Amino acid sequence: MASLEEKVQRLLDIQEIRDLKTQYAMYCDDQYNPDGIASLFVEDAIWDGGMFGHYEGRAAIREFFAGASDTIEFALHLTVGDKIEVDPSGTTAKGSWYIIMPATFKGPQAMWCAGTYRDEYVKVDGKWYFQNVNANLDFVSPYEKGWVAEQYTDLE
Amino acid sequence: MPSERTVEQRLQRLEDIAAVRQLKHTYAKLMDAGLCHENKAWPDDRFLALFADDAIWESNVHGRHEGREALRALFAGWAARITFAKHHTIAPSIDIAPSGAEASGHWYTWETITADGQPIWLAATYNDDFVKRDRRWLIKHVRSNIQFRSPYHQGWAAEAPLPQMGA
Repeated sequence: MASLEEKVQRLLDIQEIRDLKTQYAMYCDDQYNPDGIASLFVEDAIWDGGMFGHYEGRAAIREFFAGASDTIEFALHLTVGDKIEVDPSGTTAKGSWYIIMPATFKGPQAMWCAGTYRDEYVKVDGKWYFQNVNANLDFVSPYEKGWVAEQYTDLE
Repeated sequence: MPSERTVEQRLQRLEDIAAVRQLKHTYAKLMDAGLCHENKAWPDDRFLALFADDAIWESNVHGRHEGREALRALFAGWAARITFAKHHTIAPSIDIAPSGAEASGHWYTWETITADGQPIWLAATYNDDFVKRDRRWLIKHVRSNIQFRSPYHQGWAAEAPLPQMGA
């Protein structure tokens, strides 16, 4: 049985991981602020966004996001429905989220995007960071066409 | 980072975070119910009681409104034009001050609205302040930064960007 101290700490960890995810969303919505986003990942982190690519290491993740605004002029990362499990060690955690993301791609073209995240987190010196982000997009569709006529737009 | 020493202090912070989240939920729910109601008597005292007497509501689109009577006038203006609204408030991130009597919170909101008979998408962020008075959390300052307010039939790429409010 976990002690009262441990139970309260787990709830605080869940809260801090939610705040981490929101901070990530806010940096993404701030023209994909590359330094801000990179500061939330540990050195050997992996970001995998399916059609948007696979990047290993904080430097590679930073470089990807530095160019993201060339394709995505504006986005709102609306992350919802979190489920966060903190490991009994209290130093690693897993999270699952939904995202619905209204966006404006180069054009300008209004887009509907939606998907799910599977994340892994690690606590270093009392602070939570992303170890892995796995974003699985269900659709990336032009606003006027919708997600049935064009489930995944051509990014070229 | 949590600065509390005792488990009671940490638990109190979690309870305060939950209370502030619930306050924002009540704000959205009472506003949507009021705006959707056929026989509008909104904003009513129940809704305005969510705010501190000296509360401020401001946005990059609506300007700044201070004091409960100014808020009443602002919201009455919305009620005259809006017949349907759903404020989907998303991803709360709440900081409780070390005093335990003040808090700040960030949310996203994604809104489906009918205004002047037209369907509208509205997206915004909230950066709000709260105060605890007589053991009850109240809204002190709402800062809404509206990213777009766009007709459904056009989408948000066709519209000119909205002005940005200073921090």
